[in-house]
Amino acid sequence: MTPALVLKDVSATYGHGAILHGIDFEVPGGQVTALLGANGAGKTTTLRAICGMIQTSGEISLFGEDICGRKPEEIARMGVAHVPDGRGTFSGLSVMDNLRLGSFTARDRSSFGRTLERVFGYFPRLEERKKQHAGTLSGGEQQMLAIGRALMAEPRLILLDEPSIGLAPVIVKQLFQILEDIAAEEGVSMLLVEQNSNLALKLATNATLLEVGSVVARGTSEELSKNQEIARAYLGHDPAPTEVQQ
Amino acid sequence: MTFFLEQLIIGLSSGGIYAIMALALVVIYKSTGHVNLAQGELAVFSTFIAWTLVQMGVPIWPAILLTMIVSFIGAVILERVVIRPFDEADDLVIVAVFVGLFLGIHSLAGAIWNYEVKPFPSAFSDGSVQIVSDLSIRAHTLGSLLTTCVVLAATWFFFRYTRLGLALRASADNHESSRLVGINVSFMLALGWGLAAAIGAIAGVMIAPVTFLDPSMGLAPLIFALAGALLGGITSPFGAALGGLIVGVLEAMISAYVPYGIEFRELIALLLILSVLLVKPAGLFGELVTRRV
Repeated sequence: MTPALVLKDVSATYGHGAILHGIDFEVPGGQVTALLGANGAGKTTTLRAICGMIQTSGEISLFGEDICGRKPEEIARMGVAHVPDGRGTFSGLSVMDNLRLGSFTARDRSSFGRTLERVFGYFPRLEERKKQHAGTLSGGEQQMLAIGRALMAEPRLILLDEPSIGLAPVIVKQLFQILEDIAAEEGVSMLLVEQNSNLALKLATNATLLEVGSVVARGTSEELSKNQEIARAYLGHDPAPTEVQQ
Repeated sequence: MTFFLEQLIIGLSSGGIYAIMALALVVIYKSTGHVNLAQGELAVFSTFIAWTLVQMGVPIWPAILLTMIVSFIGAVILERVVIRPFDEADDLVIVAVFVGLFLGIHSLAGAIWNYEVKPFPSAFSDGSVQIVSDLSIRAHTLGSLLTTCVVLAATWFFFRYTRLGLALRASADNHESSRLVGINVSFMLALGWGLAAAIGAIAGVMIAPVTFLDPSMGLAPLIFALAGALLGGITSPFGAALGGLIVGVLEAMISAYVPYGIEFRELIALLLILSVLLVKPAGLFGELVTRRV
């Protein structure tokens, strides 16, 4: 199976923030890959580079097709759905309109109803609130909407940027349960950026670890979480479940 | 009673023109997030184009249609060349750009067509329509009222029910997310300007037969339209149009019943703008976007 995404020697500059220094990694088709690292390691920048939002050099191929240097709207049309940092909901538009926008690039428009039903299946709360303005939703609901919107595109690859950020632990737990269902049922490849590495490694089959713009480790989730040195240095030593984190 | 009805219809008719102008403002606001202060001048410029076409012997309706198309294209180019470079600029810079655009288009119209006041033919018959025995209304007044209703319904339908309308609303709401869902935002911004200019052209050719055509014709309607848009809510096509109608009726009533009312009717626009902003900033039907943080 062709990998969903291959990055080869990708470098990027972005404002005053993190810079990527020639990173390489792969997202296998139909699986969840976690991109881990501390604040400022370049995780968000990597996602922004993949979806064409910043100047990038190197090679980024999506199912074998080079997408480096293309515009974000083109990359979106090629089947990449980005759930950005801060969720990126259209706050002045209704929940329903947000979901409609998600399907803007869907190649097959006749499947809108079925996809919508599946999204409401994962997130019943969105159906209850479909007429509400997205801006009036709670943080957790906005995250659900952002993921729902991504699913509406029937994408081949979903980029998830810190879905757990700013959410209460109990909501995070629910959300990751749903993400697990989505990964199992939709067959879509996912690249998950997370600071909460315990959660991320549980969901992902493999992971890449970034440190100040370079890849420092790569492997299956199991390998990475078992590697004492990596666990201590990068993933936080505490093996306890994350619910206790404040 | 007849006098009152007459004033009411006159008010609704000029209110209708403010409503169309207000709609043009809403279209740009909803698709780009900017209030186009030069909208009135653009409408006047369009009206001059229609006037030139009529002078060349083109019948009035084809001339209006052609003017709308030319205005659409002209505004798309204007957006690309003049507005686009300031995409990321502060609000204050944007306001300065719009004021510059206002002055520029105004002078250009003056330079091409001079400042002499010109008559402009009505798109409707010159006669009057008898409503009841002692009340007859000019056909143009009724015609422009009807035109308002059609333009309003079409705009509302476009934004509410079409894919393109949704994409325009999305672009106004969040550029980055729009691109991430595959919308060509740059195309949408230009489209918003084009649509607004085409709508504004309609307002221009409706008002010119009443006020006569000169480069300064657009200022008063723009002020009243802005007051109307703010009163009704600049995020809502329906609210803004209703606001325009209310302002038009108010203007007619004050001119008719208040001593010296004609002298200070423009003041009511200002008072309206101020009081709306103080009491209900989102307007009567606008959506004050509430965000949780």
